[in-house]
Formats: sequence, structure tokens, C-alpha cells
Amino acid sequence: MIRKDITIIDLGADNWSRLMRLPKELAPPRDGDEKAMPRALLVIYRGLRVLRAIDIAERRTVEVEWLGVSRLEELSSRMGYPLVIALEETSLARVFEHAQRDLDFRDDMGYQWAGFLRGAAREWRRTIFTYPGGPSRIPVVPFGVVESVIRSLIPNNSLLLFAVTERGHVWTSAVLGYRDGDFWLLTSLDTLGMEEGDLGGGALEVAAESLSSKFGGKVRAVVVERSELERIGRSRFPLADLYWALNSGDMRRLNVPKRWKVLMFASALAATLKKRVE
Amino acid sequence: MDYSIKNQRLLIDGQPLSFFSGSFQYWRIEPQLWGPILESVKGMGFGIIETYMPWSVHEVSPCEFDFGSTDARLDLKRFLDTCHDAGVKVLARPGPHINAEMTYFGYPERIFADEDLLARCADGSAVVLPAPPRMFPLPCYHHPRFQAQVRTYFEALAQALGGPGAIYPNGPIIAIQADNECSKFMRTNPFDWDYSEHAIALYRAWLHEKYGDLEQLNKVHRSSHSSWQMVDPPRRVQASVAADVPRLLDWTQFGEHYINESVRSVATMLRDLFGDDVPVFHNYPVTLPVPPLDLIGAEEFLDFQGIDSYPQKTAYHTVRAGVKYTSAMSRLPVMVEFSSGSIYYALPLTLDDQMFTTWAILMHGIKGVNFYMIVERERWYGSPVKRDGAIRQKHYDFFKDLLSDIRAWGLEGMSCERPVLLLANREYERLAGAATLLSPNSRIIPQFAGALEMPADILISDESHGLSEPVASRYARLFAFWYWALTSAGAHFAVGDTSATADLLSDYSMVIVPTFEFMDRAVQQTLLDYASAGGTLVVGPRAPEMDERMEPCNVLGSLMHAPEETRSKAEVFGVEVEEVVLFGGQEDSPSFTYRHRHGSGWLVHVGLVPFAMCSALDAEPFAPMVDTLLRTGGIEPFFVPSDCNVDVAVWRGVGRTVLFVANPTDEAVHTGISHTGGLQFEDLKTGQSFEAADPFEIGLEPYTIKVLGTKR
Repeated sequence: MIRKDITIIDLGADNWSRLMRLPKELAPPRDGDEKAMPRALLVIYRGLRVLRAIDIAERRTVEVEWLGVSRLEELSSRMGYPLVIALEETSLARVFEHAQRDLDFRDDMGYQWAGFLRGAAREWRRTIFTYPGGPSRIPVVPFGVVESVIRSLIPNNSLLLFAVTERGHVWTSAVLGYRDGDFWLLTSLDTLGMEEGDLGGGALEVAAESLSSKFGGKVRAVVVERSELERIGRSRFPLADLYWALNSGDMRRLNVPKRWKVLMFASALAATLKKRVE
Repeated sequence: MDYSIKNQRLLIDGQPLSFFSGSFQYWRIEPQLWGPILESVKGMGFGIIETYMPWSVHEVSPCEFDFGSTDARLDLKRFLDTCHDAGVKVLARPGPHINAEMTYFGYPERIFADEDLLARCADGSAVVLPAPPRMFPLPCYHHPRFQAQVRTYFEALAQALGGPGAIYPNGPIIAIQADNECSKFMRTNPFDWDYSEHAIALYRAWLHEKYGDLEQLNKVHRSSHSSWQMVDPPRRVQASVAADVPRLLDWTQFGEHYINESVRSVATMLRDLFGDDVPVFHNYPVTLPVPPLDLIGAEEFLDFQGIDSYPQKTAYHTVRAGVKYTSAMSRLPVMVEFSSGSIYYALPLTLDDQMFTTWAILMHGIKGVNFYMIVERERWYGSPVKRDGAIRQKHYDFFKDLLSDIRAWGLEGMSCERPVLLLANREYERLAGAATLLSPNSRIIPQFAGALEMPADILISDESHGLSEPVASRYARLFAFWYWALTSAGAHFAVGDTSATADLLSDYSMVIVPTFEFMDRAVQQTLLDYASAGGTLVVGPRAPEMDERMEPCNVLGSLMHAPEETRSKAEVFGVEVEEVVLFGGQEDSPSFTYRHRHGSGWLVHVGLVPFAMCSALDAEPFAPMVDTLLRTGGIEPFFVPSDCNVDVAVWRGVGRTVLFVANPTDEAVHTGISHTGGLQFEDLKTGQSFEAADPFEIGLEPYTIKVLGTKR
């Protein structure tokens, strides 16, 4: 899924900084009590002994009366933590050991990470406990399924361009190259000297052509105004805003497959429903 | 050519070198751009570049190498000649480990395919480094076949470059780095790895060397081995009485030997091939090199050592502590890698981060910096010179101004005035390493999360390990307490550890070291000699009664008072502390501190066991205590800011004093700075003058540093 020698070039300076900060920027603003992280307690234990209890949000140690992993609910209500995580002192080492025994350095990074997830699944309810208890087993989706889903979503030999603009000029961008089941390239419009270039008029099409001739493959682009992206992200009705953006031209598309449109609408619909429930 | 290090500066033929360098990775740049890019780098004022020389890139098939015969980008000789012709000196870093954000960190894949060469965890699994874009198993540097493979690469490299002929002045290389960030890849928890055959053999040999005979080892380890082959390292923390602790400490201390011997083997090969004259150095991937990193031990076979750091501006104190340590303990304190731009998957460092943190490391004693990367390349972004040679103007101008200012202000020839030395106690650090929870988490991993701003004991077990109290966690809290209390009092201090030599200690008027019930006998003697010779030694809260082998030892303890009373959860200066130890004596009422003469110096005992403190503000109530302590040691506090969050460093040179004033907070501050010298200062950047008043007032924007110089 990720090529071993993936090429990562020309990410820009401001460009990439903005992209990495984008998720935080899109997060809905919170005020007052909402701003605080939910209270969570981490207990590191050995048998009936607590080695350290930590208030995760406040990053401080706390004293707890430990009742064992079978009575986390009682600990939660007594201490007033809605979430309690109890780790046996060797749990992390065990997860690593499981993963290390299975790991082959030639395997795909995704598969390698799945090894750690499988390790955690094996330790779930053996040395890793939580309150609320969660599922009895951690379902680990086979890596092959993930690969198949990605293959079905992304046409082979594509260059996926995502750009956020401010008054038509590039504010941040990312280009991912996908070929033969692997992401092989990560770059940005900086590779064309367009870190803050104008994407208005026919410039997007010209940029797509330049990318295509530089790296090969067909460019599939989604370009959205920053204000519009924020509006969709924070909207009470993301579906309506997405629909508006697509039709008003605030979200421009180039060679976008139908399956992406379906996916965009499905995720906007899900977000809308979720917000309505909230 | 004569290389030497004097007053923390590298001299070539007696001439001090301006140690400012930038990283430029030739194999990732088109050869026709090498020359023009070097000119751009020189345009910023750099006279040195640094480059890795990656094994995996030059090895085209097992033990066959390409140094430009088929791929022009691998023509290292041509690259070095280009540097030499341009008058640019080179720091060479041939690995074998290089990271460089490369897949497999510069090791050829075939190394991992050979299971026999791999390091092992306690359960026998190969040790994996979870690094993108591929995780890989780590080799054991003590395996003879691994060493032979490394040597084969180095021989090919030396042959391609002409061996000693590549060294300045015949070539551009002025120093060579032996391996890179050798730190067990930060998985330094002693019970994590290495339990491979060759590591255990090294452990046995080290014990043999340390104890001489098996009988002595059996006595100290409470074992009954009949041969050295029977000796096996502990695989988890297991200590129910104090006598169990030496075996734990030995295994933990062996980690230091393991790392140093890894670097030594690489350094020896490089010296064999490039000659003894060129300085060989090393770098550590953390800012505060606590055990198993051992700077003083490594200086036996290295010429100098530095640290690496990629800090956001909010990590000011983590970097400050590390720089205070390195600048006190290293012969030539350099930042071998300091951020210029960012790695693709890390949180971005802005130009504001760059400006603030660069001045911060210079302020606290770093004498040379290699900016990594000064030339952008694959898997890196935000450098002043782009991959195609274009300039990123704002970044370029920053470096140009920085180097110009440093030289114009004469900072390279000055030294930082710090009369106090805070010592980390290596034995307790080792114990804290062993008591670190959630292996493979280690003592040094939290540094990346801004360790100093978190409770120091947050991931250290509160177990006592057979001792009379939880020394590991209490020590961690106490060390942090001293750091913050000194900071809040505006004291000018350096950080070191108990491996410091008597010579090094003698540079300071006051040495502060946490002491608990056991302590290395030789260290106790060194500290006592320091006080005898006129220094002020601050110890406590406990009087050591045992040495590192848990045998009775009262070198220091015999001079310290027994407590009259111990109070738990008591208030001191309005702050709740875990324990306060009261001593009777000179005063009417019992006090938690007393002093008495020792030789021509002082021994001061402070009986405090604090709870966790994470900022100067937490420790502010103790500032008057520190102030009194300093005066006890004959240190008149100088240039003390009235705002405890503001940080001041004082540099002295011939006929000039320079003050660095830092605001490491996210709010603008206005502070007074006490001043009794009658000197008048000006802002060296803006020319703004400050009255010679006491105190004089200064305002600082968030995350900024002002540099003030005495008016000439």
C-alpha cells in the first residue's frame, strides 16, 4: 500500500505546515467546559498493586484505592473518571513482543502496524482493561481487505491532488501518487513552483497537465476554498453545504470518479445525521 | 594539520573555527547543482557543511559499491572536491546508522535478512524500530560479523576518498562522526534489549573486568555462579532487599558500556582508515543525555560530542536543560543536528520556532551548530535552500542575519557565567531507568513530549526495590525541584552529572547533588574533596550510609546530621512537600537545613522531599531559600529577573558583558532585572539603550529573546 521507497519531495514550507495544522483548524470551536479533555485515568498495575495512577488530561499522578481489574466500574464511579484504562506493567512490552515475532522488514508498513494492532488484540482483557469495557474482542480487519478497498476506490496510475485555496490562490496542497496498489509519491504544488500560486481560470488544468507530465498518471483533483472547507467542517448540515459547494464552484473537481462523489455524499450524510443526533 | 579543543572551541593549527554548519545530502541532489547550492550556503555565512555517507545507497550489491562509477549522484569524491574548491569544510558522517529519514536508516537490507546479526529482546524476539516507511529489526553492533560488514563498507569508502587524503587541508573533511545517535534507538529501558548472544558475552566480560573474580561478583550479586558462562542478566526488575539492587544497577550500567563500545568500535575503524589526526565525534538524540548515555565515559575515545534537537518553541525548558548539561559536560558542546525545517511526518516547525529556539540554545552555552537540513531534499521541508537550488527568502535571511550577528557581537569568543552546578546522580538515574514503567518506554523517550513540563516521576514506579524508600521516583522529583527552584530564583546554573571530574567541579562555586541512602563511594569522595578545596556542596535529603554495592560507607554520611524529626506532607513556604526532615542545631527551632565547614568550603544539608513540580511558578516560593543558599556559598545573585518565568543568561568576554533575556511563555512580559554593576546596556539588534538603573526594566513579546550588550 505504501511503497518502500516512497518519494516525498517538495512539500513546501508554509504549505506543509498549514496542511498539518488543517485538522485542528477544522475542528469545531469549543468553549467553556467543552474545551477540557474528558477525564481519563490510567492505572499501571502489577497484580493487586498499583505502580502508578495518572490523570491523563491533567498529566499528574493520583492516588487510587485499587480494587483489581474486575472492579474498574467501581473505581470509575468512586474517582469520578468516566474512562479508566488499566495496563498491567508488561502489557506494552507484550504487545511489542507479539508484533516483533510476526514482523518482516519487507512487509508493507500498513501490515507492520496491523501487527501491533493484532498484538494489542491478543492482550485485550488479558493485560489491557478499560471501563467502559468495550467489545469482548478487538476486531482486526485483515490487511488484504483494506488494500482491496483502497484499490477499488482509487483508479490505477492516479495523481491525487487536494488543494485548499484562499481567494483562488493555493493555501495548502498535497499530491499523492498511486500506482499498482501502492502510494509511491507524496508532494505538493510546490513541486511546480506553485506553493501560493493562482489556481483560478484555467490554471488548475495547466497544473494538472504539468504534474502529469512530471510524474506520469492521470491527475484527479479536488480544490476547495478555505472558507468553504471550514464552513462544511463546522456546518450543522454538512450535506447541504457540500452540495452547495459542488454546485457553486467553491469546490472544483477534475477527473473525479463517480465513486468519490458517492463517498463524499455518504460521508457528508453521515456527518449530518450524527450532528442531528447530537 | 594540528587539531585541538580549547575553551570549548575547535582549533585548526591554533586558529578557532567558527563552528556553524548546515546539512547537505549530496546523493539526493543533482550533481550539477552541488556547486551553485554550496555558493548559496556560503552566502548565508556558513563555512562548513555536513553530510551523511549512506552505506545502503553506495552498496549496490553485497559488498560491491558505487561511488559514482554508474550513478553520478553517488560520486562522493567529486562532491568533496566541489566543497574543497568552494572553500567549504565538511563534517563527514558515514554511519553505519544514519537515519536521514531513509527507509531502513542507511543499513543495507541484507543485514536484516541475517537473523544471526540481530539484537534480541528479553523474550528472544528481534528488536524492531517502529519507524516509517518500513519498520526494521536492529543489528547487534557487538556481533563480529556485523562489525566486519561495517568495516568492508568503510574500507571501500576510504579507498574511494583517498583515506587520510580526504582530511583537511588535503581534502575538506575536518571531523568524522562515528555512528549516529547511538542510544539503543531510544529504547533504553534496561529490560527491553539486548539479550543476544554477543551482548551477553560483552556483559560477562564487563563484569569480569569490573569485579576481577567470580567470588567477588557472587558476593555482590548474591549469586552462586561457578563460571562466568553461568552469569545471566536480569530480565525484569526484581529486588526485595537492598542487596538485590547492585545486580539491577550493574545491568543498567552495562547499557552505558554497550553503547560506548558500539561507538568505540566504529570510531576505531574510522581512525584506522582515515588517520588519527582527524577529530572523531558523536551525537545523542536527546537533549538531556541521562544514562545509558555517558558523555564523560565516551570522551575517553572521542574528541567531542554533541546533542540533537528539533524543538518547538514551547519545549524551551527541555532544550534548556539539555544545553545546560551538554555545555557543562562536553569538551566541545555542539548541536550536531538542530532543526532547520522539518521531517515530513513531524509537527511543523515555523520560522518563529526556529528563531526562538536557535537563540535559546546559543544563550545557554552551545558553541557550535549544524543546522539539519540547510539544503532541502526528499523527505524534508522548510529549509532555506530548496532542492532545486532556489532560495526560501525569509529562512535564508534569518540564517544570514544570525551568523552575521553572532560574529559581529563576538559571541563565539565569550563564555557563559554560571557559578552553580546541579548534578544528576547517575546511580539514581540508573535506578530510575530500571524503574521506568511500561517498557519499551524508557527514561529518555518522554523528553520528546517535553519531559520537564510534566511531573518528573510520572512514569517511574513508586516501589522501593528493597531500599527504605522509593529512591527512583523521589530522586526524579527532587532533581526537577532543584531545576525549577534555581530557575525561579534567577540563579545562573549549569547541569551535569556525578561522572563529572574533580577538575570540572572546581569550575563552580556551588555544587548541588541529591543524596539518598546509597551512593557511589568514589563519587562521595570526589564531592567531599570539592568541598574541602573551598566549594559549597549542597546535599540531601538523606545521608548516604551505603556505597553502590550496598556495603556500609559513610564518606559523606559521617559529616551529615541525623534527623531530629521527619514530617510527612508538611508545609514549607506555604507549599505542601512529601516530607521535611528537621535537624536540631545552631538555631533555636529545628530547621530543614544546616551547614557546617568542611576544609575551606561548606557542606550544606537540605532535608526536603518535594512533590512533583513542573514550572518555575511551582517553585517560586522556594526562591528566597535558593537566594540564601547562594549567599551562603559566597555567590552574590546577579542579573535576577523579577518575573520568575523570564530567563537571563550572562556571557562575559574581554571587556564586554552580554545578557540574553528570554521570555519562554505565550504572553508578553515586562520585567525588572536586578543590576548592581553600574553597567549600561543596549539592545544589540535595535540599539535601544537601557538605563544603568537597579533594576532596569525590559519588555519582551511571547517567545522572544533579547540580546543586550554593555555599551562600549
